[in-house]
Amino acid sequence: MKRWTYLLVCLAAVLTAAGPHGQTIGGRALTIVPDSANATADWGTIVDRMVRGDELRARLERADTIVTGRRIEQLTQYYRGLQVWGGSVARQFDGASLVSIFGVIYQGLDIDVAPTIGRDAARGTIEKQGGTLLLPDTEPELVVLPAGGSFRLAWVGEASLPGDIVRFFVDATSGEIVRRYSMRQRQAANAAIGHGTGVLGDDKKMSATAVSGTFLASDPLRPPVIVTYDMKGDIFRSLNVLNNLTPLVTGDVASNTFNNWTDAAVVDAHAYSAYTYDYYFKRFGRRGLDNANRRVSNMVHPVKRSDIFDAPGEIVEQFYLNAFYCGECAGGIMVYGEGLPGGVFLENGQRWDYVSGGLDVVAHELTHGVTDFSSRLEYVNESGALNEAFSDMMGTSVEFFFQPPGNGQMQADYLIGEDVVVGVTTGAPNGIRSMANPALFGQPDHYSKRALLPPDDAHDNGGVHVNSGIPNQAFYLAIEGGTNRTSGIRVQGVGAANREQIEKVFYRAFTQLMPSSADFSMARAVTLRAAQDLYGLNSAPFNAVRDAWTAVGVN
Amino acid sequence: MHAPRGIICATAMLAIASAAAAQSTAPDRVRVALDVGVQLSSVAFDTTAAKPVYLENANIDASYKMTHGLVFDGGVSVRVAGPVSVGVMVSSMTESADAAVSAAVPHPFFFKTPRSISGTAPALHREELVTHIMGIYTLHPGRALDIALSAGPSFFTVRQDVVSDITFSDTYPYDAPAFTSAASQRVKSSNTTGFNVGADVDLRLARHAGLGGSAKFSKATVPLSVPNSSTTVSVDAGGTQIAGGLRIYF
Repeated sequence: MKRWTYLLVCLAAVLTAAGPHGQTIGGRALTIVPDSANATADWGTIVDRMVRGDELRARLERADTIVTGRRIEQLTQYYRGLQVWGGSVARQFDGASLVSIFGVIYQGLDIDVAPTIGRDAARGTIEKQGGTLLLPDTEPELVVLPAGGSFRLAWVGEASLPGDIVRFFVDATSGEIVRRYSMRQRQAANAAIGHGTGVLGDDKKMSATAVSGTFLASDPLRPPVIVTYDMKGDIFRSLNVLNNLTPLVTGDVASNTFNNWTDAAVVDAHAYSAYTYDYYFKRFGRRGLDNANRRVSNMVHPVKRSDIFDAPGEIVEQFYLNAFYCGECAGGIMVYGEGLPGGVFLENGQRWDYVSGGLDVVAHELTHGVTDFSSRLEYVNESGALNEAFSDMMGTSVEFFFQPPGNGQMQADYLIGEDVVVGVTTGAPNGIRSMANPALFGQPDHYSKRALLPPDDAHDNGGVHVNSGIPNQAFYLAIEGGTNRTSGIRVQGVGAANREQIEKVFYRAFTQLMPSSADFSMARAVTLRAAQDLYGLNSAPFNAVRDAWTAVGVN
Repeated sequence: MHAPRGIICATAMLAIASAAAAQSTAPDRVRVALDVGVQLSSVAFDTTAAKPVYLENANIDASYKMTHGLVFDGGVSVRVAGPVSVGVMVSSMTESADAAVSAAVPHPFFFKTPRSISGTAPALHREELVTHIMGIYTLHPGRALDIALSAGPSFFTVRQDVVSDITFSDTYPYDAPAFTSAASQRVKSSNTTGFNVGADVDLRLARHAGLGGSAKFSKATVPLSVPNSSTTVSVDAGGTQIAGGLRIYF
């Protein structure tokens, strides 16, 4: 299928103006990063007024799971009943007192909200792009879309393409597609405990369910349903499921007659997704993707390895050499690539095994789900890179939680995917990214080296998998310390023994305090706020986070 | 509590021995003793059992300390020549005591990640049934007073409640299970040979009857097969007993 590429303008062209207590107002986009208690209070007053005026509506509100007594509220901006895309605010309260507030809100909206192009026409346009019909629960939604300092009325909807899931914005006046980007948040671009053998030949316990003389890969012991589907290499069924054209049924659930599981892809997807749930629960008190024990679904064997030589390139890219989380597919599902047949490796000398065999990979994908249910970091430009980076941070943190540190297989390190993407020729690296040295995989380790790419699906949504190297490096330096190779700035990290502190700072920042349109600079402010909340101003974690951002050029 | 009463009883019998001596006649051929008393020695031992939990074994350790069991004795001796007799006595001791239980319970999600729990197995029963064969040498320091010194082999059978299983409650994240109860099974040892030595003081109160007190030490090490365990545990049996009761002479 021919893919159309659209060059998009950046989300918000920033014009400088004075805001409350010296905050920056960028054109009609107001960036809320208060630098004092007074500024926080002022922004709190403004936001309260907007809530009362129905310009901001609470999207979610919950008790803080890390700092007792705190409450987190995330708000979405609305204009005359329509969501203003990217307008969001995250507030933190201690009792009735406002502790912190971050966000981006748009001012000066004055547009007609009556669409010229109706919902049906917009649906038709999107379906034409995707080649599939949209189901009733994926109807296009009318929104106000900020674009280059002005606003336009647009229909937004997602369509599943054979190799991707793309979010389309259809101008509600002209019917043109004015923005599109990938929604695949991907890597590379009755209780019965069974025995399983993982991708790397390791023994694992499988939490399975006994049903009528067989065992299903459905975990009945953890609070949420964690279920692993085996598509048995049926690409057509896989696509239909991901396109929401066919529901997943019990017959799709991976099964085993003797509860002795030898399908390594099933074993690791099932076990590692459960480990990731455990990590979030034990480290942060979080209950799964939505913090309410939402079902966790895994899909393995979406294709057959033996079919790779006949598969289109986009299928190879998506279903062999990849893993991704799709929040819009089958109620939200993690899809793990099939890897390469034995003896086959890529031109760069890397062999890919079943992708679910990487604990950090699985945790990375599930973290996209966490982000979807918390900050909803827009998967484009810097907010998209933050989205990717947070998944890498948590993926690596899960590794360190369950595996001993080291450089070998099933050992915790700062490489991403090193257990399943292995260099087999001289000089070929293991893994796909390095947080310790992003340049090893062509990522920038400093803001001055960031990739400036068009924010569309043909350019990695503005380089979300490229620029994630910058916050990744900050996370690494805040824990381990060391010197950034570009700036030469040395950071005193908290040390590996205290890594939990930095994990909590970034978790808190990214899931509770971060607005959806945050950029790197806001991420710095939000993580510092989180460090202050948790450990105090000028504490060792606070200083480590501050110095790490400075070292990577984010101020 | 029981021991002082037994000693007082023996002392009292000695005190009235001379008064009863007048009733004594020629040595009797058969002597029957029926006693009740207490076993003073304590016995401590440990058992280990295992049961499969979540694909691994839960190791269940129990520590027992049995003290002061109630003893019932009954025996007969036959004079074979002069002061020398041979006798047989059957002794039954029962008691119950709690056992401390600890266990390492496998984790449902991870291999080699045992979780510790502990608790108590209450009122575990122990019963020792011992047959003492005795060679007896009897002294007659007074006409109504006999002192018999004895020794010989003993044959022990022990019935003991041993901890064989535990139950626990387990909730997510399954890192801290809670002990609920311990299950036990009563096991019986094989017949094991030990020994006994003792002294018996009889006070003859009538032609065919009297009172007696005894102190006896017996010992054996018996093997107990622990359910859900591939090994047997060696347990001391016997110990120091004091008892007193009725004597009948023929």
